[in-house]
Amino acid sequence: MLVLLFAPLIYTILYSSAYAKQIATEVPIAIIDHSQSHSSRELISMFGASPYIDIRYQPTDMQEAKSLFMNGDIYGIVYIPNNYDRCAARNEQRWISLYLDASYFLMYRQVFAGVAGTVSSIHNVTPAIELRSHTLYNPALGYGTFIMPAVLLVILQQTALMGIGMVGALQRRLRYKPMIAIASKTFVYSTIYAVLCSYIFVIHYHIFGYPESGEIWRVVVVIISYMLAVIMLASALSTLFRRVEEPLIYIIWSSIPVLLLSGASLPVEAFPQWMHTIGLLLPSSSAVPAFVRVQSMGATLTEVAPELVRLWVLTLLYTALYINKVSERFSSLGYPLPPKGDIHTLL
Amino acid sequence: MFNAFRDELRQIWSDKCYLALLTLLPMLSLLFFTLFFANTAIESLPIAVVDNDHSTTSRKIVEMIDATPSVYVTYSALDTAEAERLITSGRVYAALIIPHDFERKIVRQESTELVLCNNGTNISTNGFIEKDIQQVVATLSAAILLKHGESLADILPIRIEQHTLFNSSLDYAAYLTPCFMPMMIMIFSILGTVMATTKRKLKSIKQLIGRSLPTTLSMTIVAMVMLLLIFRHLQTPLAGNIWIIILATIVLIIDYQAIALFLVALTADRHLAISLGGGYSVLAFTFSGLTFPTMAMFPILRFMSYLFPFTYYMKIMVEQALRGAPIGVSLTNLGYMILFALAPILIYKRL
Repeated sequence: MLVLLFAPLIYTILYSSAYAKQIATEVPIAIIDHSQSHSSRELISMFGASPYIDIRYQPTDMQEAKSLFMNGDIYGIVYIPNNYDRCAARNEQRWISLYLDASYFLMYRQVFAGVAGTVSSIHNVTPAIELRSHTLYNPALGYGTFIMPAVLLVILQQTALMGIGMVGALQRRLRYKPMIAIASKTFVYSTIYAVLCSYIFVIHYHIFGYPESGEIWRVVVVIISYMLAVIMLASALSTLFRRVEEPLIYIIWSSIPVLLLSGASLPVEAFPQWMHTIGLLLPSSSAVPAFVRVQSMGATLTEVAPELVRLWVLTLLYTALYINKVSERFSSLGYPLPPKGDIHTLL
Repeated sequence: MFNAFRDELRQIWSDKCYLALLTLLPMLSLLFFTLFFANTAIESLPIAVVDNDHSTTSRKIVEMIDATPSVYVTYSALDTAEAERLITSGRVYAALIIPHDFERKIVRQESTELVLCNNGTNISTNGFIEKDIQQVVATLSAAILLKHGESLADILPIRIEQHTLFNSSLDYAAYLTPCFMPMMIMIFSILGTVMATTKRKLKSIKQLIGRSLPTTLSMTIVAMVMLLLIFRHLQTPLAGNIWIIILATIVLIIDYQAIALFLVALTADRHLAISLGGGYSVLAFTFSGLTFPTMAMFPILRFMSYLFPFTYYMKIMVEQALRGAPIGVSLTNLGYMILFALAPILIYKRL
């Protein structure tokens, strides 16, 4: 019960809160101005206007700037050489240096965007070709909007694998005929997840302001297809566990690999194809791209059809495995035994 | 203490699950990350082009974009609506739209514009595509203006000489593996310690240490394999002091064992302790600030990030592996890490 219901709630709230601000603005940098001229001060004030960066320090030399860097006080250094003003006066190209730190990627990106964006906006003739970029579906490029839909789905899957696995390990003895047991269990889990998903995808989504471009019934179809595949996979796996701690031990470490395999953070083009193919056995690998496209991008169901088909194939596959395993045990036991390690101790 | 240690080894040997979590599973998790990050240079992200101009110049710019390291033109769409369908059905990450008077305007020395519709739901592909296409457009634009007799100083008055100080290869693997792999060590350190201390009643502190020791040893060995993988196989730069990293890794293992003991004492329940411990170690990633900076979090959550030894460990990793920072900077963080090892003392009586 704890794992099934409270763990997903606590995780979703904590993760979403951590990413609630979505973007890093005003990343601290330092500027070394060796020109000390009118034109260099003009440039600095333009940098100051950029929302991405904040000129926190103006050290006199590189040594001082580097020590600020090492202490983690700043994430970039702009160096304006002393010939800057002279070149500006003679209308020659002038150079500035930018020192960046790629050990924190998001900071790197913001500093680069702030400095390079400001500099490229300065020109005396209109460019021949201008690139007008539209960022679709996540215009602010928010980190939460990017990663949270995937994280939410993976949390649901992983906690289901553990929770249902723990219940399965407790209920090794059968009380009812296999088909009745399977049907009733699936029904109970579906009800639990219907409630949980309604909270996550309606209330939670609303509180944190994640994009809801999808029509509600399409989102519901994707979520139902996903959760059924998850419940059946979890039930099939639960027949393998003998002790209550086993599902925890075998599954707890896999959350990050599962998230990576879904291609949500690093695109599928960036990791081995065969790993992605094997990963398709996990419901999350199909559901994450389908859900992101339907919910964040407003795709239609035909546009996510390949993913939906894969989810239903997985559901059938895992249901077959589950039924097979349960009836095998039923026939080997002969007649159902009275319950012993009761489920109520867990619930 | 030695008896308890020997006794625990026998227990591990007879319990398949316990044995797996100390040996097979951690190695398997390291193998996963090694294979996953074997070659993460982002190449050929598919995009679509809507070429309304069908001219030599438009074909040229498409060729130039195709030749960039990360972008690969896979579809040419008829119109914007079709391009958008390609994006929502997940076949391309972005679409570039070339206006019908593209070449004519260039010839007439008028300014023209290209439109890029770039999917923002994946900020990493978005960034790569944007950067590469922007570069092509800027280069071509400058070349055209030069031909028209403009001076370089007018086209680009200020140039940036860019230096990437740390992790200059901008390598994803170098950046993420030193974070994910230690997380696996943390998780298994917690699991092992909970298994060791909840099976039978504990009689003395010595016995407690004896039973926890197999986990410490096994995880230390796994951690050394991990460091070899990170710095030798995946070639993460090692700019600083390896001994500090080794020391910090061992302290990390002991920290999480201490936290496991704390949870066991607190909950007196194996499954609850495992669940809480697992959650605590997985959350550490988010709060370490490696992907999303803690600086940008709300103050209360930023404060929470100090409650994970992993935060300090990651700082040491970044300082020593990527930056080559002076040792003094990292020693402070190591000091904080050692404090966590004292966690069980808080509830010493309940053990």
